[in-house]
Amino acid sequence: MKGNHIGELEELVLLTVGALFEESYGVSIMEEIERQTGRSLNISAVHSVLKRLEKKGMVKSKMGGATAERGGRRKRIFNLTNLGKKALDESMEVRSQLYNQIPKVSFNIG
Amino acid sequence: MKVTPPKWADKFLAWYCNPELLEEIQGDVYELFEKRLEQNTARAKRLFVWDVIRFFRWSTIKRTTTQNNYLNNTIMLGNYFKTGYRNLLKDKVTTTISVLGLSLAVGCAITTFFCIDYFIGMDAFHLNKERIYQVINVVNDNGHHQKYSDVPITLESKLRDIADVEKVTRIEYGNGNMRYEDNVFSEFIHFVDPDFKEIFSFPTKQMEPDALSEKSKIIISDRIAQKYFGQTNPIGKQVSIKFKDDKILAFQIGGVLDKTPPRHSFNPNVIISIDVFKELRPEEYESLSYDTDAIFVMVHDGAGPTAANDILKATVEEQNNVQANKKVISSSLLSYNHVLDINYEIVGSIMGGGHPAGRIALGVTSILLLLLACSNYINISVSSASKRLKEIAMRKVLGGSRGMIMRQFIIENILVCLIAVIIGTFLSYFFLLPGFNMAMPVEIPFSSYNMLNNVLLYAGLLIGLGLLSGLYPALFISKFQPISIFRGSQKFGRKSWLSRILLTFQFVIAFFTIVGSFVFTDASLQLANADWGYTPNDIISTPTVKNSTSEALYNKIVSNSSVQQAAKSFGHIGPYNPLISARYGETTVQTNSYEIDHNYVDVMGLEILEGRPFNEKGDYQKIIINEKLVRKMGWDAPLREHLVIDSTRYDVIGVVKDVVISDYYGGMSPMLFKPLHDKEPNYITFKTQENASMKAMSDLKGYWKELAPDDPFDGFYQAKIMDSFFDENQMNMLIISFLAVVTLIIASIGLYGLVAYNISRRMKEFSIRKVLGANLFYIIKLINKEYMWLLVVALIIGAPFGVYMMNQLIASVYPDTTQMTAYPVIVAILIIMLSFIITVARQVYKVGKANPVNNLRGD
Repeated sequence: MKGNHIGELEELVLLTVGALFEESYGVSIMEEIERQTGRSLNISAVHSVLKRLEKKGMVKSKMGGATAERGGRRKRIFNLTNLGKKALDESMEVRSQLYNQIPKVSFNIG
Repeated sequence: MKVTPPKWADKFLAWYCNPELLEEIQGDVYELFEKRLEQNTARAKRLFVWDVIRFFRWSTIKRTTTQNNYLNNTIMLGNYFKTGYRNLLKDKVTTTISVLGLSLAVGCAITTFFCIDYFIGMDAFHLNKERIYQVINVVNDNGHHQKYSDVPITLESKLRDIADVEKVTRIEYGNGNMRYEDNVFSEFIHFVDPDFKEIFSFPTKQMEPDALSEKSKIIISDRIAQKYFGQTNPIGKQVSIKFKDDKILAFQIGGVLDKTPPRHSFNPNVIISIDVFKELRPEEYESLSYDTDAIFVMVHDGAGPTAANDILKATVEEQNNVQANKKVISSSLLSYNHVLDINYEIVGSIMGGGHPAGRIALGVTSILLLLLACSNYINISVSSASKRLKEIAMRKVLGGSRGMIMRQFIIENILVCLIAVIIGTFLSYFFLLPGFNMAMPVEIPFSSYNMLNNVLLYAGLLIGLGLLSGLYPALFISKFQPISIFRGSQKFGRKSWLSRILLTFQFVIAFFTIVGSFVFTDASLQLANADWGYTPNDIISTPTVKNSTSEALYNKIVSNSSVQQAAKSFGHIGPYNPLISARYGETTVQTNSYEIDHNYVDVMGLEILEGRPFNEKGDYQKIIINEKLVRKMGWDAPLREHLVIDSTRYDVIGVVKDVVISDYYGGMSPMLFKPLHDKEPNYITFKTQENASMKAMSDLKGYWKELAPDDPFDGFYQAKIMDSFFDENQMNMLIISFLAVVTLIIASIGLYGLVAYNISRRMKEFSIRKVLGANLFYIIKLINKEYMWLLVVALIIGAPFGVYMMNQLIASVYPDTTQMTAYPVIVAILIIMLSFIITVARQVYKVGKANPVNNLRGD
């Protein structure tokens, strides 16, 4: 089941890719994660996670348009694939399922 | 101004990054950089670098493309060899020139390598070589620090007490007449301690365990065994040896050494326990002031010489107290290898080796030869690449990368080098090394003492030569842009500065070696014809035996009709030159000393420059000295001076011209002559009538048989004593001239190749000029213009350099030679010029003969 399992960071990146939709590429993903979670990542880490996800077939990519601030270089735009979407759904489902199983009492004890 | 990220980091990224990923990665880091720039420039730069470094990971590093290339390469490899092979065949002249030049140089290099290796690997067969040390004293020789192999015989017991020292042996030289049945010969003897057997690893044929430790059991070499016993087993045989003072002792052969490996610097023939020496000369054996010829020490495994050095240091004062006339400055252990290296600096060194100047000269010349051949090759291959321009352009257009083209050229080049190395090996194996061995007294094997060296030599030759000669052409050719080649605008070769520099460099080397070899040959010839300081012709000399025999022999010689005049002496110039120290005031001087009768000066033909020879009565306490001693003492009026020898004052009554002893190495020796009084002479020297020396020699042999049948006859012609030096001298001349000739040949064929190429390229131009009325002379001028000034520049640089270096070398080997003359330089230059003219003339002749129609037809 290796192909379908995703790690915590992978999940985070996958979510961001989905959220950013057409504007998801290396830098924007990195910045979005930082903005939303306060976690600062190195760009190379983002790249390697994206590459891993692409290998697993959870994202697909195409080259986007060039911008001046990138020295005329194009971006690689990432999109969720169905598999990626499914993986996210599954993981969310597992989470909420588990979350819902938490008995109310446990909150009182805390 | 726009701030850009650090260039090097950017380049680094572009270098390592997989091209497929480069764009997005670069884009991202640039974008980040731009954003960060708004806050802080320095920080942005720092972070940029950090990002780039973080990206340097396995997944981003270039791989995919090289993998493709690699596959492509292995497929192409065969093709490269095929095209390379075809190209070589297509251009036969060029190939022959390149291969020939390279092969010659490689052959010389291999030969030289093995020669130098032979001397460097000297005595490598001693298994414990790394643990062997020799005691070396540094002695003050009139302000000049001189290393001595001779050290006090008593040091041995001190060294034995040191914990780090495992074994000690003294080596004391001696002579004796060894006799087995009817065979009597004078033999050179090594008196040694029993440890000698364990310290040195001379291979043995047979060895009884108690040889040497048992006083009467001696060890002989294979050569001696053959000489006395032929094929019979010598072990246990009884021989007698007659030593000085007519003492005859009996010995039993306890061991036989096998043939020593060819790389030995000393190999004793007759080895006797030093206890015998103790018995023969007890006073000297016990004496604190007696110096033995050498002491060797073997330290324990892992131990060093430090402990022994401390003890030796402490003995310096003690030594100086006993030996008043020799001031020891330091005494220490030198490792065997080190002693071998500086062997020529050590007085009385027991190891061979000789002066390294010859080896250095040989090594330098063969490296120069290799460079020469390489630059030839570079020149020729760059020039001839023009014929392949279209091929290169086509490959590039079809997608060949620069790297691929470079690879192709380097592979072709290694092919050429491979052929050259094979031919060179053959040359060296069949001609050069055998030639060298024939001329030298040594037998140098076609192999190193160390297998690794063989491998290194060949790997070095192939890779070094291949890269050295192939890298530049490959870089140069692969750089061309196809578009400019097809357009026809690619210019090169004609005005290439590199080819000019290389050509000049070749000529510089040619001038350097040839002028150098002429200067050397000149000096050697001067030595061969130099005045010996006396006339050795018609002089015969013989060592004598003790007692009445020598007197009887003298009387017989004097009465012989073919003998003009005879003299007796203790010590004799050439074969027996005892070294003593004499004092003058505070200065001590080491000098050869001879005790002679009143006839000696006349018989030897020594030239008296000042003063007078000894008179018949025998001048008591008078000496005659030579010029060198006068110079050494710095005397203006030597006849008014004196020297103190063994606390006796001797007045100088005459000065003789300098005399050569047996070679010119190290210059003239200081000499002094004392009158021979009550001392027993050990040489009789006589001058024969002209052309009567052969008869006198056979008469002398007859007298000897009659008077001393128990002793070997060792009479000799005085004229022969320098033979070994002259043989060596002639050998050096031969080798150096040979190398010079090879240099000239390589330089000439290089020039030939280049001129041939240039002429063939400009054939159309010359033809048009001819059609339009240019005469041959004008065309010759056109061809030569390019090379003439290169030659002149090379001459100006190379010739003086060669003269200077060779003079330095000569001065270090023969300090007393006469000044060089201008003529060797002139002759050398003429020879080079002539050979270059011949080289070029053949081709110019071709141009002159060629019919312009043939060259212009078809255009």
